[in-house]
Amino acid sequence: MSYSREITTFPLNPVVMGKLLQVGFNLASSLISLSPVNISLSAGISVDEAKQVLKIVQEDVNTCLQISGECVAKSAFDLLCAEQEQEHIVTFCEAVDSMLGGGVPVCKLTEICGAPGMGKTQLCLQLAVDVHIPEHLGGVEGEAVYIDTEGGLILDRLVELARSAVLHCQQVVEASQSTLDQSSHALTVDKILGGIHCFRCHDYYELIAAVQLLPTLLTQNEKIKLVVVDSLASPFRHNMDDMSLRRRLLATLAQSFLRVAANFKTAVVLTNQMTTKIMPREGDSHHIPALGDNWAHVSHNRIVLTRDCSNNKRKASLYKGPNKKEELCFFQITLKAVANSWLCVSKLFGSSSKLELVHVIHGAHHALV
Amino acid sequence: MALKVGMCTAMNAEMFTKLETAGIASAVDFISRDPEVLSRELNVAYKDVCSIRRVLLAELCAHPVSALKLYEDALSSLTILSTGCSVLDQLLDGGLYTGELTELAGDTATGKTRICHWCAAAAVKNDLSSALYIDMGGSFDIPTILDAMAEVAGDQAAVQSRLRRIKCLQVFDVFQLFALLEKVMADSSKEELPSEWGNLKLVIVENLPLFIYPIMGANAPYNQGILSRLGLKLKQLAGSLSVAVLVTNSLVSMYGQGRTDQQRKAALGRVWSHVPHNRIILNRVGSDSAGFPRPTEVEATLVKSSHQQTPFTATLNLADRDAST
Repeated sequence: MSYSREITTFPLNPVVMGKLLQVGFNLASSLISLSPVNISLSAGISVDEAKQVLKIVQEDVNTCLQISGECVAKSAFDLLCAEQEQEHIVTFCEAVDSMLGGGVPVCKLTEICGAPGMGKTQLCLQLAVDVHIPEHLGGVEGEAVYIDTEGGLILDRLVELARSAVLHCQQVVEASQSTLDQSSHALTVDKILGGIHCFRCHDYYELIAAVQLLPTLLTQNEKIKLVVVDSLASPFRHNMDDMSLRRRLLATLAQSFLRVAANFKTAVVLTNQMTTKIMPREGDSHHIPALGDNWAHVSHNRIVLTRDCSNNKRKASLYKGPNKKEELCFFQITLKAVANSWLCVSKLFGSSSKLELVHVIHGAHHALV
Repeated sequence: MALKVGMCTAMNAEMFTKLETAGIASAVDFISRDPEVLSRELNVAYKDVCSIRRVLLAELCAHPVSALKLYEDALSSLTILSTGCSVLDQLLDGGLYTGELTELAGDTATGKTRICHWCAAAAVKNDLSSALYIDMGGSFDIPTILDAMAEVAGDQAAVQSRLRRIKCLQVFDVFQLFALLEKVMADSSKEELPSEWGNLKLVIVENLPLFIYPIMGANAPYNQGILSRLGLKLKQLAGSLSVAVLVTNSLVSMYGQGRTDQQRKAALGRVWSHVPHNRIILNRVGSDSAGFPRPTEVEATLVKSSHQQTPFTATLNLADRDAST
C-alpha cells in the first residue's frame, strides 16, 4: 500500500520528528519499510525512540484502515435508525423532560448552568437516582459515576431521593397491575446507592485524573449510563492565573467527555456556574455561564436555571440545543416526596395551559437541617 | 526524501557510503550543495553527481501546467453547491464552490451547526453526490437534517436515499482527523467503482478550535505547524477531489491597542486566517439584550471572499431559511 502521509501529521515527539525530517524521512511510507535499527542509525535517535515512532505510525495506518471498514463511517440514515432507539434519562419533571426531548439524552453532553441555590446539584442527584429506573418502567436501568468537586453530594438527600424513587416505581407497578414477576428487577435503595460511583476531586489535577480513568472504569462496568460532574467550573475558577492553560485543559477535558459519551454510550451531565458579563458599550451587565466562550461550544444542550422575579418560581431555559427551539419552563423544588408530587404534576399539567409545574426535589437546605 | 541505494544507476553502494560519511542523507542536502564542490570533496565523478542531481530534480519537481488546461479542468469539475438558504447563497455568490474552503465563524448558538446541516442536505439533492460530516462532538442531528429536507418530506424513498449519502464521522483529535482526510483522499483517487465515500462533493469539519486547542501551549512553532498543515490538507482535499470544504470556527475577543469596545474576530490566529477562501462571521441580532427566547435573526458578514466584494452583510433567519430580508 502506498502510504503517503507526511510524518508531521503524526503525534510524534517534536524533537524526534525534527531529526527524522532532517535526514529526509518526510513520508510515512519511507519509514514503514525500515527496521527500528536502521531508522535509529540514519536519524541519530535511540532504538527505543525509533521503535516508538514506528509503533505510532503503524497504529495510525491500522486505524486508518479500520475507518475504511464500514464500522466507523455511518450514513445519516444509520443515524436515523439509531435515533429511534435514543435513550433518555428522565428528570421526573415533565416540563424539563419535554424541553430536552424526553429527558437527558444518552451519548450527549448536557450542561446545567445556574447561580448558587438554583438547583443544579439537586438536578444532578435526581439524575443519578433516575438512571437506575428499570427498563420495563421506561428507564435505562444503568449506573452512574458522580464526580463531585464542590462537596455538594449530601448523602441524606441522596437517600431521600432514592427512597422516593423506589416508592414511585412501586406505585407505578401497582397502578398498572402488571402480572409480570418484577421482583428480580425491583428497585431498592441499596441498589441505587450501590450503583452510584462517587469521586471527590478537590482541584483540577484530581478532576483530570478522574476523567482520564473513566474509560477504564466504563470498560469494566458496562452498566454505567451516566457521568455527572458537579461542578466543572469550581476547580477552574480559582488558582488559575494562566488563562491559556485553562483553555487548553478545558479543551482536553471536552475531548475526553465527548469520547466517553460517544464510545461508551453514556450521558454526560456537567454543571457550570454563572458569571457577570459587563457590556462595555451599554454599561449594563447580565449573567452568563462561566468558563468562557470556547467552552460554550462544547455541550450539546445547555440549560440555564434562574429564578423568575415576578412569581418567585425556578425557571429552566434551554439556551442551546441543535434541534430544539429555545424554550423555557418553570419548575419548583418542593418539600414533598417524589411520587406524590408526580401525580400532582400530571394533574396540574392537565388543568393549566401554562407550563407551570411542580418539580419534585427538596432544597438542599432541607437536607442540611 | 531520503537517499537510497539504487535510486538511479549512479547511486551505488559506494556513492551512498561516501555521501553518508559527508553527512548528506536527504535529497534536500544533496541538491543544496554545489555539484562541483561535492564531486571534489567526495572524490567522485562530476558526471555521476550531475546525473543523481538530475534524477532527484525530476522526481521532486512539479510539472508546469498551462493555464488553459487548468481553466478547462476547472470548468469541467467546478460545481457550485447551494447552501439551501437563499440569503447565504447570495452572500457567497451562488453558494459553496468546489475546490474552495469556506469558514463559518460565530459564537455559540448563532446557527453554525444548523447552516452546516442545510448545506449537507442541499449537497445531496443531486442524485449522485454525497457529503461527509466530520465532527468531534456528535452534533449531527437527525431532526435538523430532516427539517432541512422538508421539501421531499412526503417521499420516504427520496429521504432515505439522501440520508444514505450523508456520511457522518466522529473523530476525537487532530491526528485522527489527519488520518481520516488521508484515507478519504487515498480512497477517492483510486480508479475503482465509487468508493465508500461516493461521489463526494462536500466535506464539513465542525468546530475546528476544539481540535486545535488541546495541542496549543508550550511548543508554539510545532502547534502552528500542525495548524498550517491541517489548512494545507483541507485545501489539498478540496483541490484534488474537487469538493467544497466547509469548516466552523469560534470567535475570540480582540483586546489591547486602546480598544475599549469588545470587538470579536475569528479564532485560531493569524496563520489560520490566511487559509480559508471565504469567511463568514455570524452574529445574533440583538445578542446583547437579555430577552429570552432570543430573536432567530442572524447577521452574516462576509469578511473574506474570492468572488464578492467585502465586507458584505446580510440577515438570515434561522427558523425560516427561505425568508429573505
